[in-house]
Amino acid sequence: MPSPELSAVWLVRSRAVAASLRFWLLIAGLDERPRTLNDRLYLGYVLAFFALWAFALLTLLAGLGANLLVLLPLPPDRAASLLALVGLLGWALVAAWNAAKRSPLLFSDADGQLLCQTPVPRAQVALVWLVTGWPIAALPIWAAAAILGYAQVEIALGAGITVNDLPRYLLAGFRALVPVVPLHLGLVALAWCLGVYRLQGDREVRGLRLLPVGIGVLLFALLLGPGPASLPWQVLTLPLALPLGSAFGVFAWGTGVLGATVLAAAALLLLAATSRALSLSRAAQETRGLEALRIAQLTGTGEWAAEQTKRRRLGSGRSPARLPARAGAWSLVWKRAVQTLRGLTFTSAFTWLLPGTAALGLVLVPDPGARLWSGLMWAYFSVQACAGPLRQDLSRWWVLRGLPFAQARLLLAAIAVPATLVLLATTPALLLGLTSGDPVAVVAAAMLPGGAAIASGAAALDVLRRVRSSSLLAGVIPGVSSLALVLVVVALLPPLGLYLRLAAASTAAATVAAAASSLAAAALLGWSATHFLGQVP
Amino acid sequence: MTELPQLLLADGISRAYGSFLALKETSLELHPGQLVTLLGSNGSGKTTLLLCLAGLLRPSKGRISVLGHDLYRDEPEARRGLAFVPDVPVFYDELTAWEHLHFIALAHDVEDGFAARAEALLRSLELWEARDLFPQAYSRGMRLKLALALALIRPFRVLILDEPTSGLDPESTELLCDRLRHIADDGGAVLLSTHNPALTDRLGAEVWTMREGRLALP
Repeated sequence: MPSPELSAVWLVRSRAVAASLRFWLLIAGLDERPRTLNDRLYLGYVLAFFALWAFALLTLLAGLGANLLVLLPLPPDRAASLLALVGLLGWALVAAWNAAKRSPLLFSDADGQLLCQTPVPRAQVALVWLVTGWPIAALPIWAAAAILGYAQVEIALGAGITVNDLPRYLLAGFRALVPVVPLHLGLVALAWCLGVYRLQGDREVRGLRLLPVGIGVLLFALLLGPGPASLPWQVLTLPLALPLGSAFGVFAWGTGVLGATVLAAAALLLLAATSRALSLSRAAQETRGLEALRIAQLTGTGEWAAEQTKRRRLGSGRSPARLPARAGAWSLVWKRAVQTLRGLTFTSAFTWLLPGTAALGLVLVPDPGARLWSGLMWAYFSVQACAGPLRQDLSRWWVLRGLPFAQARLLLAAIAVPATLVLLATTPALLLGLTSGDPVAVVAAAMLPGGAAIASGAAALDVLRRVRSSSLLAGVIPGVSSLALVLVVVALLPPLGLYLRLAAASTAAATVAAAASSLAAAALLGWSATHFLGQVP
Repeated sequence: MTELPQLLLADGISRAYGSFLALKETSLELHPGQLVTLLGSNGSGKTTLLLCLAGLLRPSKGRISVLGHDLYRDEPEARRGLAFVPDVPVFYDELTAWEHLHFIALAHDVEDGFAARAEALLRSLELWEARDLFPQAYSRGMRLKLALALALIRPFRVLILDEPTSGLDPESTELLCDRLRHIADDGGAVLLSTHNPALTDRLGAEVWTMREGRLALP
């Protein structure tokens, strides 16, 4: 019979897991407890549908996996084994780094205030949290193992694969998966040991993060230097190489499964022993808000989650920005520049690069339909990117409205920087097109300044036409709707029409006319947006 | 006796949320040296009135002018004379407290002597040590003080505050009262809402009362 403490820990955790599960069931239109025959039939249908969908996706990826395996100068079984070993090692080292940096146990605010303040056995908490959280984290690893297993069959059977080979195909995936499951569990447990060891009582263990870095550097050096056939590499990686080799037919399957199971059991025992003195309070403090953030990302409240993530990344403070500042309306540019630089992350940079990638399609793809599609994608990405800063300013309505500037200046300051970034992101693609002498690139380059301004103006107009001061005061800012995209297309049509009409007579005159008329269209959109900003009801 | 020119004038303003009239037709004036507390129960329309006067909520009817400049038609000039402190201020995530002050000062062309003024202001509000922190790391009371500092770092003639003492400690409340009296003594006008009648006594302020969306002037 389980101890009362374990029951309490399990009760708390199982409720949280059930809530997550309920979310996914609701997404699929299912009741959490099927009551009628229809409910059960629908549950069966959903499970079968997603199982087939997952299998189809894995087989599709297996084709790519097979192409990858034949590129390596090794037999397919050894190539799959090495690929899995390097991938899993890399993943495990990153997981260990993360665990050594921040508590691997994520606690909700309620857990932090209630469970973490009770004297429940820490080992039980660690094990229950690991076992309930691990399967979700393991899904990509399991999928990768199955893909490599399927890829081996695809290489072995070549083009002659038929439906009769399905059992062999499924068996290959199963054979690859079975040793990987306990192996991955063991690696997660080992990574957690590192994190849990750091959180012993009030002792601060420094430098633990260097351990995975050191191991990573050593293994990387061994891999690039003596190579995977060398004795040091083989000895050091044996606990992983044996199960993974067995998964892909290099070693006996049973030996690998046994090895992985022993590793998992040993790692779990080590975690139980290490976590006896785990400080749940410290773990809760470190992960405060992260559980809410995870749920927000899962349930689609991405904007809130992004804001929280940004605040976490920014930390508590900074030294004053060294950017040169000037009084008057230039202060708006200074503020925007500081915000842009401090808000710059890989994800935000990606937002600005997207218009550039779409523009590549516009100038490099020969098919007119694909070019049109790329142009639309450029407009969509640009509008999305340009709306962000204005929405950010609007969300601080009391500051914005307190500034002694005319509406046009306020709006210009909010959209000028994003329009410039769109322009800069798109320029390399158009330069590439210009070097190939593509006429589309010429007209696109001429219209780019106007086009970027049109995207900014359309985004602003679309947002501002729907804002209400009462909702701005509550921090609720409308997002960009499809109308912004329509506005961009409509605003770009006259310059394009002008170009096509004049191009027969003079390409230079047509290009100048297109450039000028696109700027005029942008000015019109900007003027309309200013009007809406001044009339916010 | 000649009446002083009005600093703020609201002429027949009202505000509706859908069919609900939160602020019934109201006219008021604020004159130099006037210090007014706005009392009223929850939902009486105090915040709606203050938000309208601060230009954050457009009145459904009527017009507002600051120093003779229409708040909507001649906005930049009107804004130069008007400062507002909300009850729940929200700040930019990426700017520290010091940078917020710097930005507002620059926007209002207060460049000369900014650093000395900002330091004195932050020290008096006990925010100096926390000047390089982001406001989201502040407590509610500190955020209110920062909002107050943003109003005070720049020149103005009319100061509107929405429940400014609701999150402040007694020392800071006393400091705020001193500041507000000085502003009035220097020829400015102050209008603040509060649930605390004792604050009116401490300020020696005139009392206006809101009831069911209607303003009762003395």
